Amino acid sequence: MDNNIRLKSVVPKNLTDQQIQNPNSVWGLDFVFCEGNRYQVTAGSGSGKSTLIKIINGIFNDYSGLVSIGSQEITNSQIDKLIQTRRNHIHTVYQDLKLFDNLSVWENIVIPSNDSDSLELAKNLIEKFKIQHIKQSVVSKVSHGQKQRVAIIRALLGNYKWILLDEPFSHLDAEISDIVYEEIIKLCELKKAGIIITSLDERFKKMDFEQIEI
Amino acid sequence: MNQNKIISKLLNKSQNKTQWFAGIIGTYLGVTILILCIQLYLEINSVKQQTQNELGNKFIIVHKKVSALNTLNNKTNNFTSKDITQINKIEGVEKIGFFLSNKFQVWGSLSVNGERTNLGTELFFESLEDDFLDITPKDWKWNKNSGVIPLILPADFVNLYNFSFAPSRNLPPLSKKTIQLATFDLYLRGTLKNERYKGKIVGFSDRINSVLVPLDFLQYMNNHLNADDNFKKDNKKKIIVKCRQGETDGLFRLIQKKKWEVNKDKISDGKFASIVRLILIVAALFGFVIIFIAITTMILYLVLTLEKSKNEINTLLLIGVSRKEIQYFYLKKSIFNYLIIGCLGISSLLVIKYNLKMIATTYGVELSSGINTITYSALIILLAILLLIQKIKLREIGK
Repeated sequence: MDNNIRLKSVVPKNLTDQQIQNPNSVWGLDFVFCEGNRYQVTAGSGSGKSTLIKIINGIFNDYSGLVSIGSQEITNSQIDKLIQTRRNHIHTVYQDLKLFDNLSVWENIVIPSNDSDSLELAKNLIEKFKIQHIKQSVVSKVSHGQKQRVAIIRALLGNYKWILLDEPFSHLDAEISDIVYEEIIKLCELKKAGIIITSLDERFKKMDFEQIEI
Repeated sequence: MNQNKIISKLLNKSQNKTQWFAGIIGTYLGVTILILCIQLYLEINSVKQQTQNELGNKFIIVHKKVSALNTLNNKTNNFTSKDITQINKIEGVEKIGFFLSNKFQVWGSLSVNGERTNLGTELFFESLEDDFLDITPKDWKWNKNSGVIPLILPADFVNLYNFSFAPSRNLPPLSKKTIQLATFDLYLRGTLKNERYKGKIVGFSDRINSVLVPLDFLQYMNNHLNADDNFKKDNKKKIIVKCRQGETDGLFRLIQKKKWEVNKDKISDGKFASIVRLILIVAALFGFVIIFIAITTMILYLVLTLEKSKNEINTLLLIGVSRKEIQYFYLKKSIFNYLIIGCLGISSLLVIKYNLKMIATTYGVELSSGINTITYSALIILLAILLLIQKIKLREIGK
């Protein structure tokens, strides 16, 4: 069984008719995100980029239609199955990052997956992403750009078939974002995982990201 | 740091120590009151069982009512053979004993360590078969040639002497052992002859309020000292009925119907036990109410904690931490809480039990040492129920 993400006539109820009737939009169509492929979702503010990420994660349920990953239905799925999907299939970097302010950088990174491979990988990525010096700092004390890197490292650990990134580089400078981007691509290729990134960054257009406008 | 430790660190921040303490104290009080009631209920049952074999409802002393009419008509209060047959037919009655009285005059004077005192009085004796006595001391044997008559006095006699007679005569109080050191000079005067004996107190009876002598002694003396056959006749003015435990209703119905009288003090032992049990049941219900309030407090505390940790829990679920791992954290805390409550409850019970045992011993009641297995089981079941309620509540996480 594949791990494709399927949207079947999905229409969020909070979108306007104008947004839905956009001919380039995925809303209302039968659309498949194919396993192992890379997608860049672009649209103006308020068009539903974050909504799409939340729908795929089963956080946002106010929509018509059906969403599934492989044989696993996301729509109306039981909470435990959804959590299992988030643990083993879809790792996400949310726009608001979903970090724990009271925990240290290291604790935030290893909280969902702390097997020896993940710990080793975490150490490497911390060094590559240049946040080694804040490893033991409490997250509330670090900058937003550093927080973004923490959230990205956390998403890259463990098992997954998809990495969903919602505006992941908004606070990263060009040098760091290149390093982070390279690592994401490298690890996803290694795991044969697909990427869905919501960003208006023009760089991705030049790379082999399939463009989706909503 | 492993995942569980990080989750503990994260979720512990939302715990309110005051609410936690209130919940612990409330549950501890409820649990302790409840297990104390269970333990005391079991103790009372055990003491009742123990005393019923000796002085409870099982032995009922019955006599006919003495009315002014009886006195004027010189009518006897003897139980007739018809009465005895009726009693014997009642279900639960095992045996009937007849009190035998002395048919001669008795004068007793007290001597201590061989020294004669000026304490002397006319006495009376009664006898019963040994089966009906609550004590049979080792010296409770009459030897015709020894010249000594063993005596059993009512246990109340010591109290009566120490707290009523001695203060009125400016005499020192005496312990049971001291009293047993005293010997009596007993002068027995019948219609045929007079004899002199020594009397020795060999024990104190809780059941029989009379001066008891061995049955064979009294039967012998009633014949030996009297020439007149009328004095030799047994009368049946007072009887003692041995009933099977818990089967006294039929006898009491007959006693009520015939307007006979019973030894009320002894029956009140059973009534007392019932009243104490009733009080314990009320206290246990009170314990249940406290436990209910405590459970509500603990659940409210849990709900509040979950509410305070809502963001953290939701985020954990979003990054793929399972509900079981989060529930495990709260369940582990609950187990820890209930272990504290259980240990505190048992410790308190042991302290209370120890003090009660000391108090009971001074009243001559022997309580068991330690805590009954049923009480332990009740505590474990109770804590398991509390834990189960918490577990059910924890299922709501993430829903």
